[in-house]
Amino acid sequence: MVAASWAQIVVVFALLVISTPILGNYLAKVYRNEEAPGDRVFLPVERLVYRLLRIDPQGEQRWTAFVGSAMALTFVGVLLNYLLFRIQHLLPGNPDHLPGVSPALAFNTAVSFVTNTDWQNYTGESTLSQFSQMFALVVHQFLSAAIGMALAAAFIRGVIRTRTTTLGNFWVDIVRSIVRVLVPLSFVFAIVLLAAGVIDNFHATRVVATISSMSSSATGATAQQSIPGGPVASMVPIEMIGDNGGGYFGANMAHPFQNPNPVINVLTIWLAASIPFAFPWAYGRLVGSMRQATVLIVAMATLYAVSVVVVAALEAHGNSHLAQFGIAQYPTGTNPGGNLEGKDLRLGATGSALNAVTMTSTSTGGVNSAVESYTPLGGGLPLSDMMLGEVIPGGTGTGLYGMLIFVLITAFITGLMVGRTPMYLGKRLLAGDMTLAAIYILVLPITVLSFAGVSLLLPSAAHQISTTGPHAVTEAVYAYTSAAHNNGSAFAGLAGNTLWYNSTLALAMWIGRFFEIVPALALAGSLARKRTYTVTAGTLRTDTPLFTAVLAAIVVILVGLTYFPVLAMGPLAEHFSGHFGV
Amino acid sequence: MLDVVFVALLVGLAALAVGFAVACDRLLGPDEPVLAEAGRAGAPRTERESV
Repeated sequence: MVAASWAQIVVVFALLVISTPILGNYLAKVYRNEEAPGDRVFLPVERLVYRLLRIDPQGEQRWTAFVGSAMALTFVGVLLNYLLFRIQHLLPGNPDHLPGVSPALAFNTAVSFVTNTDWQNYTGESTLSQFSQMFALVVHQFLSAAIGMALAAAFIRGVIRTRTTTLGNFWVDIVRSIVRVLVPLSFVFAIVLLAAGVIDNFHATRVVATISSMSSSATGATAQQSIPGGPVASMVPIEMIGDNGGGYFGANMAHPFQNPNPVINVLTIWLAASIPFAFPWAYGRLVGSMRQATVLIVAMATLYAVSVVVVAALEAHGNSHLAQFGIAQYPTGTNPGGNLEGKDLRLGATGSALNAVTMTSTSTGGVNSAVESYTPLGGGLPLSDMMLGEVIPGGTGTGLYGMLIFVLITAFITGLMVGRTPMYLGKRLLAGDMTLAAIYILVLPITVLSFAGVSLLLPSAAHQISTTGPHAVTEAVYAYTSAAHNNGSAFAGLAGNTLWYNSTLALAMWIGRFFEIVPALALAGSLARKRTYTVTAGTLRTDTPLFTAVLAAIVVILVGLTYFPVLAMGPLAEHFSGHFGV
Repeated sequence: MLDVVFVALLVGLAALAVGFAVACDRLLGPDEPVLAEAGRAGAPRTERESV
């Protein structure tokens, strides 16, 4: 049982080793706009979309136009989703006759899915109609993921182009991302999920008598269970491939209709990490240096692997608080052992830990266990993974440009340390570039800590948190970290469907999306304008193991400097008070 | 009433994001004339094959 639990981790890493070069090479062809597999099918579709939407595929955009297009698409998306949620009771595809969504929840959910966050302050099967789930949520799970991929493509062009002001065409990148990557992958894996038992139908909720009520009918006891229906298998692939994470059911990946067995658990976890790890490979292909790709992938994979193994070990070790009640936490033939509070027995502590770390290291946020029930440090690490800025490996596209910004900072710092002009791939890094990078790094901590602090001070907001003490600090910080970093993972102890949380979490999501995209694309625009200097023996190399190690260290140190105080008041304080009686 | 408030909030957020983009663009400074002209003309795709 224990070996089977740990095998899940090994299988996910093996799948990533296989898929990264294959998918990475394909992505490079997609964004280089060159001949790629499937052209005979995809090219006519793309041309049709360009014609219908009046897109000039040869047209190029400056960074401001590129980011403006992303803003326009997002703005219209939020507006349409808000309207759709409010009037869902008037629309078809509502077999359970669910009412329109309240204004605050509609606003939160609209912003959440359009910004790729997928934070859910509601229970899907009892709040949103099937029409809302399909046309508001799933459509934006494709679009929001494609926006991240388009932004990554633009950032790469900023690095590789020289003496130009343009970064490509946002609309072309969106169309190619959806037509050539997201739709084909989602289609294939939807069929796999259907075969594995994930439901996909348009049934209304069915109320059935449970077996226990039948067996106890003599005593007059009755027990009923509501069995929801819905198009789930068609939603789950893009939920994972696009690093969205918003599920059809409130229980998300803990629901057997979505996650029917450990094989699907492993498959969906791999799907969530597949594109984020493939993007650095594509980057290497596009800049013509696989050594640069290796730097990114090794730094990402090392931090990710350490996080997975540490959380899995912590949860497999068990919880000392449960031990004092005589609860068995040692593995047996039928018990995977460890801290199983809030976890799915089929997956064990290890399978749950693998999920929690992957969903927070990417920008997915889907959960198959209650992170609130993890050991203090076991729950603190997924929180820290989000705080890293989701760069290990991060979201679809967003992880790549997030890590590249850390690379620029590392190149700048190390360049100054050794007394050489800071350069990256032959481009000089100047004060303006570092100002934009600093804005990128500082916006999120300011947003998270401000909102979380006010929420803990406001009695009405603090009252919505199910616990007190250090755990409540972690709960509030986790919620705003998840929202601002566009992750969507929930710690699971916050009743967030209130005016305060619906509004402020939506604000955090919006700031986390655009106040990150804007400086990132501005930086790409700045890089594209620069001339390239010849790389000489005197130039500080950015493709060495030493640079990789410094990069990983700087990612951790920068996050430590900004978030350590609040981590000390949350998970660390809980750990030491709980385990050592401090 | 709340519908109006939230739509207004969304418009405000969009305006804030646009303003932030303008501020970042000013931080970078204007494009050199030769580059701006090239961009209007359809952008030379001067991507390097290798580094």
